[in-house]
Amino acid sequence: MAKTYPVVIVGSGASGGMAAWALTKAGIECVMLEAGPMLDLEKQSELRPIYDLPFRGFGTPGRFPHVTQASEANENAWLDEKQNPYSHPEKDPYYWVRIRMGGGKMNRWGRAAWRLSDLEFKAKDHDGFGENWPVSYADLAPFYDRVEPIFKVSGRNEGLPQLPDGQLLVDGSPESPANQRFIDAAKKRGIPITKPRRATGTLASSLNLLLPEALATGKLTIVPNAIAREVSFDAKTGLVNGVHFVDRRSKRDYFVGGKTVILGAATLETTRLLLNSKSTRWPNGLGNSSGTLGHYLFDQIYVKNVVQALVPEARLSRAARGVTGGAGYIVRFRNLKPGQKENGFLRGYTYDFGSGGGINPKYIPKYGEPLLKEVADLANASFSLTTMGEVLPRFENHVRIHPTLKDDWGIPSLHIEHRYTPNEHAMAKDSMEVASELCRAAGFEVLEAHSQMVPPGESIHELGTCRMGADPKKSMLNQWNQSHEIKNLFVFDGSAFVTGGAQNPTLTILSLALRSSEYIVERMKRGEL
Amino acid sequence: MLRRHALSALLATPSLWSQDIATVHPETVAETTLKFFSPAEFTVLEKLAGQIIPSVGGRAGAVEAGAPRFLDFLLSKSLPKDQQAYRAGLAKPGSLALLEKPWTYAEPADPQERFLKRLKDDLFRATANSREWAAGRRGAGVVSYFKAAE
Ligand SMILES: Cc1cc2nc3c(=O)[nH]c(=O)nc-3n(C[C@H](O)[C@H](O)[C@H](O)COP(=O)(O)OP(=O)(O)OC[C@H]3O[C@@H](n4cnc5c(N)ncnc54)[C@H](O)[C@@H]3O)c2cc1C
Repeated sequence: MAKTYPVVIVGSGASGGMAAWALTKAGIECVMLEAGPMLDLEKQSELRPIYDLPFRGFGTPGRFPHVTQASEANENAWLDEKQNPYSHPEKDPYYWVRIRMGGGKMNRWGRAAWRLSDLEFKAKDHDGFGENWPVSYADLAPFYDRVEPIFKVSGRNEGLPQLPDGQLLVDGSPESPANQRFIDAAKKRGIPITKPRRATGTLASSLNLLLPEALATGKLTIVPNAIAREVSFDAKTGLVNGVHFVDRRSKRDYFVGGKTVILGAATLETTRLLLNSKSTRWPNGLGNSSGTLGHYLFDQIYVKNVVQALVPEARLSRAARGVTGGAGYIVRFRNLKPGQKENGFLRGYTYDFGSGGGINPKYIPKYGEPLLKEVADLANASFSLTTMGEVLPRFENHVRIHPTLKDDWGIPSLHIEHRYTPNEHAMAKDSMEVASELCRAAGFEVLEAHSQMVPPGESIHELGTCRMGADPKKSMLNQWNQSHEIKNLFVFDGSAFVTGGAQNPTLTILSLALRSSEYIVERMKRGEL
Repeated sequence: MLRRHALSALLATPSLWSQDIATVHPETVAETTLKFFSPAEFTVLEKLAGQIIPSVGGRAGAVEAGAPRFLDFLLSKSLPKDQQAYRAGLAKPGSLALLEKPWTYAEPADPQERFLKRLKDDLFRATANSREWAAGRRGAGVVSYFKAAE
């Protein structure tokens, strides 16, 4: 029986989960379509010796050509690339990493939870490139303030304009001597460092922190294994009126009605769904008069282990316990002044760093007994950094519907084109030079430094393609994640981003979703939705 | 109290029909037949394995850990480009001194150096992830395995 709900939410990850949480608490009935199964993660996992896995932990050959994060132990957690294909130019690989289950990618996220600042929201004002968000930091700050406590984010406030302070569980842990040396070396050069900011708790997912409270209101109905394939548009009213979906297991086609539709299928799946929702009125995708749907795709550059160093006095780990250990974060320090373009690039980057633990034997130029001895001696001597940098949103970087390729459910797939440009390359190179200099200044031995970015997509921070903006000619959504053209259609995930900085995006996705959900509640009360 | 005890004992049993029957992994009693390497290639591989990751201080090395036989299995299931890298590499392995060149992020241009570095990685991993390597170290090599959902 087809029901019409006040709200249909597509996706149960960060964005969909927050929509359900905020709306049901305000008494609004929602139905949630989630493409994957709802799992009890504890029952789904068991301890196994790695040597009993068929491929000794090497992973099933060829199963995940684009998911470097997949290990043989967690292969079943990632979306199957054969059932769900996509394409990219042969020379420009795009690593699209997807998880389909209740809670979405939040079931595996690294939990780094950073705020954006007006350096991102008003980036165009700062350096003239691209567009501003229609939202400022002051608009979003009260929502960040409420989201951080839900996810129990720990960290340390520094009072820096480029990294606004948060409602944090205070991380007052002492620094290890090695990290302290590194921090001092950075401080001398005016480079700010802080503690990691991370969601804490056993699981920090929509699955355990948002959905149970939403269900407890009695206002949420979750349909798992429901793959949305088209948002239905009513030409008479000019509004959307529901969602067509396919049952993952039976492949049966269904329709559920909705007075408001919120998409939170994650950046590229949401855009795919909108591009596939074509009609006479919308031949190029739903609500896409601007022609920007699918465009301005960006993410963040990652230079993994940009420097791998060793801490000399931590050699012979047993003798030097406590020399290393702990992690930190280098806050953006480049181009903080308006109009600045230091070393030939716009915007800036950050690093995660950590010390302690062993060094991958590949870095050790030895073999045989000397190799094994060195591996043992360096068991606690590692110091390494990873660069995370801003990627400029560009029209050319885009997704479109593939003319023939479809997934196992008959839904047309995406073709993805994303290339890094000289700005990103210059930033990566600068980050290598700065990291090497800091490590040497701290007295570490640099084993390898490089500036090779991982392929676009691999950061799992894909953003844009359905962006917000003040000008409907240049964007899809207004400041409330609401379609400029179809007032009961909302897009809550990372596709709405205008810029992304170098900060991991999820805290901002959650805060925007909370803010826009409350806007929906208010409009519904006034009978405008 | 007693009843609850009996019930939880019952629940802990995987199935009502199975008793605690001890079993072993085939690797511990049997050897796989070669599927990928020729006997000549395998001889070269075993020799390199013993030199690159030897047994030290009673600890299993690559040969003791069955790494060469495991690699034969892995490569029999691998992509053609990986299979070719091994075939070409074992045909002309080059001097082990190439492993003393510093590691670089970009793959070495010299094919012999490239192959030996890859072989070292693969051997180390196959050894470190073996039951022989884990033997005697508590909790070694245990991973949280995510089961397939329906
Ligand atoms: C390994 C890993 C580490 C990460 N680390 C961090 C980190 O440290 N910090 C950070 O900020 N972010 C991190 N992320 C990214 C973070 O998980 C995402 O930004 C966040 O989950 C995005 O939320 P979302 O709601 O947009 O998408 P998701 O969480 O992916 O949720 C989307 C949901 O929609 C469902 N869906 C997809 N298509 C359809 C469809 N057609 N119909 C119905 N449902 C559909 C999916 O099954 C999924 O459940 C990480 C991600 C991964 C995988």
